[in-house]
Amino acid sequence: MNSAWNRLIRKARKPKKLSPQYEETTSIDKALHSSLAENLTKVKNSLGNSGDLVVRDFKMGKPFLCKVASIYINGLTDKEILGNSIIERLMNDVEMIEEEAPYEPGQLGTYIKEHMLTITNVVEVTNFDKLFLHLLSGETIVLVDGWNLGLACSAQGGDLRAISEPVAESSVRGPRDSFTESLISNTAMIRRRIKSPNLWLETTEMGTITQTGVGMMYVKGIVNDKLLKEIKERLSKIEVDEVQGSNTIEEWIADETWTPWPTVFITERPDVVAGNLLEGRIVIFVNETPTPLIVPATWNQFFQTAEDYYLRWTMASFLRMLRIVSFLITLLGPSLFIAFLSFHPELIPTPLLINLAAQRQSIPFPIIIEALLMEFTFEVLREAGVRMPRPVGQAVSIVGALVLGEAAVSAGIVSSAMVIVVAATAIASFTIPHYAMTDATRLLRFGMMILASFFGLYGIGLGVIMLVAHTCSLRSFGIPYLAPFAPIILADQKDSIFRFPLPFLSKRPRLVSQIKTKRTDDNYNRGPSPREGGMKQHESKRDSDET
Amino acid sequence: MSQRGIPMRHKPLMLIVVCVFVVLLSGCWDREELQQLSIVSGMAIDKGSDKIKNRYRVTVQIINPSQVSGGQQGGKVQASPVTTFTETGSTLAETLRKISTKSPGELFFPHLQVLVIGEKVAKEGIEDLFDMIERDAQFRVLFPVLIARGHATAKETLEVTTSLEAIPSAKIGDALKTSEEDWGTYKSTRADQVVQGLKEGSVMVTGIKIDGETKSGNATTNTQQISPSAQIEIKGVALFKNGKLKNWLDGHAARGVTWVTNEMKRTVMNLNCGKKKEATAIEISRAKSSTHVTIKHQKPVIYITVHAEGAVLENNCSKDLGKSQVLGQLDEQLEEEIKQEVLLTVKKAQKQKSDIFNFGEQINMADKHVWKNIESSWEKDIFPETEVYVNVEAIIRRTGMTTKSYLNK
Repeated sequence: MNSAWNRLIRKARKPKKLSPQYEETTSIDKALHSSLAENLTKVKNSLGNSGDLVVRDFKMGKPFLCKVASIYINGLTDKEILGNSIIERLMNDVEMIEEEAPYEPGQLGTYIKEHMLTITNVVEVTNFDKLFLHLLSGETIVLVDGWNLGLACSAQGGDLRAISEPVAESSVRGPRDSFTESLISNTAMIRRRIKSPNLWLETTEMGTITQTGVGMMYVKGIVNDKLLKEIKERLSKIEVDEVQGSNTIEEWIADETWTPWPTVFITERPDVVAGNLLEGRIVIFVNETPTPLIVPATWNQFFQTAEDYYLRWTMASFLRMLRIVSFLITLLGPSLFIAFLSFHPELIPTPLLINLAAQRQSIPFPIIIEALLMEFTFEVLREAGVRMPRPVGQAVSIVGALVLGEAAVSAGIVSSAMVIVVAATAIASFTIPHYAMTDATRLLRFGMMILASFFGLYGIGLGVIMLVAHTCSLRSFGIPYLAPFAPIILADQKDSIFRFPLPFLSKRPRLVSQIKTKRTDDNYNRGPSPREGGMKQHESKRDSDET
Repeated sequence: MSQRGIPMRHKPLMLIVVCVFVVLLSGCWDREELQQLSIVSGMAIDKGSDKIKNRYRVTVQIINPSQVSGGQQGGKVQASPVTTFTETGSTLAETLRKISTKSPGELFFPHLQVLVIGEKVAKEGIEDLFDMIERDAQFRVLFPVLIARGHATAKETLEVTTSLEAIPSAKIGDALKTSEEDWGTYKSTRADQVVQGLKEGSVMVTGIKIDGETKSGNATTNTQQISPSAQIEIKGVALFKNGKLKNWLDGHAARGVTWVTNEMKRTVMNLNCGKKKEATAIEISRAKSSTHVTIKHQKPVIYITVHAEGAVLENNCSKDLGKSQVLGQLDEQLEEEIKQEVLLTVKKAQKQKSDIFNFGEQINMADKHVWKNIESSWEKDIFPETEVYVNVEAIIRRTGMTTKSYLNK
């Protein structure tokens, strides 16, 4: 049975054979022609004469020298650079060409590249595959008649979203920038934060059709090399035709598919990414996604925010504990209510029990139905709030708050105690700082409610035991998911539920960075690192002050 | 794992089996919706009509939640906050089940506030009443037990309505607790203490009494009067011997019991001031007592030591409390007063031939051989003759906001 299952999986994962016609148009492995006209025809045909393909062919040199063409995709190019640094140079600087330029096309091409194009980055392309990759990434291709090479000039542009404030992870005191869709802009934000030559970025393209840029960033020397190798291997195993957002990568490389918990960390804040890089984690950026992935992830991480490090340690520690308590309320609140009311009314103080009994006297449903009804309604409201068009928002909130809350109680369908429990649970769920963890808890809550309705506190106990056992068994890229609680690592408790004052946090998390755990140990970095430079400056300044 | 123990391929099967066990063997199928429970707040046991078939007449008081809790259900017809159902039978279990023919839901006992036993039943013996209470998982044995004193039945006592507390049983429980804490004369006896006392032979149970017309207690109109026609009152301590009510202790004698059994929390005592009787009121704020037994000539001698701390609450007397000499005298007076109370109680108990203080247990601990010899004749012959010495150490810590009284001239 096992082998049959494996065969099935292998079959499913095998990339589908493309239709012959499609293959013809896409697999252009051939080298470029020397004839410009032929090349242009081929490009046009391959792209199906797409409307956004712009081919500008012109003659170069006053006494006609050579036919040249520039090709670009409309909307992906910075037209100012294109005009000033490519077209203008090629068309106007004719006198210089007359004096210096060689007349043989191959030499002319090299001359253009080396002397004429005042553009930051020019690459020679030899075949159509490369040509299309550069062209579709927004570069401008310059083709010279008679030369079987092309020049890819980086004049990318077009409209990109500006850097804005983080939406899901806002902070009061911290920096206000968040990632955008552009990979390069995102990695630049990290470069600005970590000015070390040891910050390395490896880029590649993924998705056989989408050719989405994927960048893997880490701090060489701090990162665990075994971990790095493992991640590279997992990335290389991805076989998809499209990468839409970082979730595609996440689901392919995650350790465990059958778990409610997220085992890959996601953030939209560059300061969080920088902090994690310096703890020895690896960050995977995906182009066109504002949420890079951070691996390995631990359960603990999902209850920490960047704000914890910007507030005083007392408040930060309190907030972290508050979040854990809120998590427990979210997970167990309604189920405990159900268990107490339907199995253990003797555990409720008498006056409260009388109150609850009075409220429930006219309720027609068993308490589990009542609870599920309310929780379901809340989830519907929440989903409606996310999906609905903005202008109708008010209508939903009025209907939701008034009709479903107040009216349901006075109509005798639900008790007001249940409304309070559901509301408290909902509010508590919003204090969990990371959305992936909130979602997991929301789902688990329903399971707990069902268990509570069948077995009471006993069922909740069973559920919690099973959940803890399962969570203990999880690993994220070889790191135990519950670290530093299971296995217990005393040194890392300083920065888990509590946040000790920063001078105490001199070590990186044990399991993530097993090589260099001491933060101030600079032995691995004896170059002219910016940190050392800064120190020297500081010292010399102090010297001068003394003299 | 696969070499010893369960083979690997049986693992999923074992997992399923374990899950099925976990679900089916849990044996906790007591799910009951809240609205189907009849929350019992009080229970009363009276004498039934005959001695064989209907020995007991059991009354349960069931809370009507919507009348008790405030808010939402406003505008309804004013109904009574509790309802009582009565049945007769020979065992408690049988009688309680019979009540289900009258009550709307399953009787739910964990929130029982109080158990009242009629004086007639108490005189005939209460030994048979507590087995079910101890055996049944539904009963918590921490509720107080009371004896309905005088002509009123336990049922009538439980039914006296009060305006300050909607549930009569809760009112009884609260009054008992307050009197125990502030007045210190009548200590409450929990059901588990009664069971323990029944095992050992002697037990004391607090009494409860209706003041006024018994009949008018059972009506909401009783609560509409500023001075209700019927009121309940905690009064006296019932002495039980071998499960039967023997005698009532009141006032100082009852307080003596609390002194000896180390149950005293707070109380107020009056002292004489020269010729003026009962002029100075002392509040006892902290008290501790211990019993010590020595064996002399194969006979036990009992020493009771009482430590008490107090404060002057009221001083209608010309004594200057600022002087330490005066305070010293007061200390001694207080010691003597407490000593007299304790001795009064001990003598009463000896007269009754009832070891309500459980001195027997102390003797057993001091010398088990002597106890074995005297155990059979202890309460009857030896206890009434035993020497009891009382030593009291009392100290007045505070004199309130003033030292001299304005009467001081």
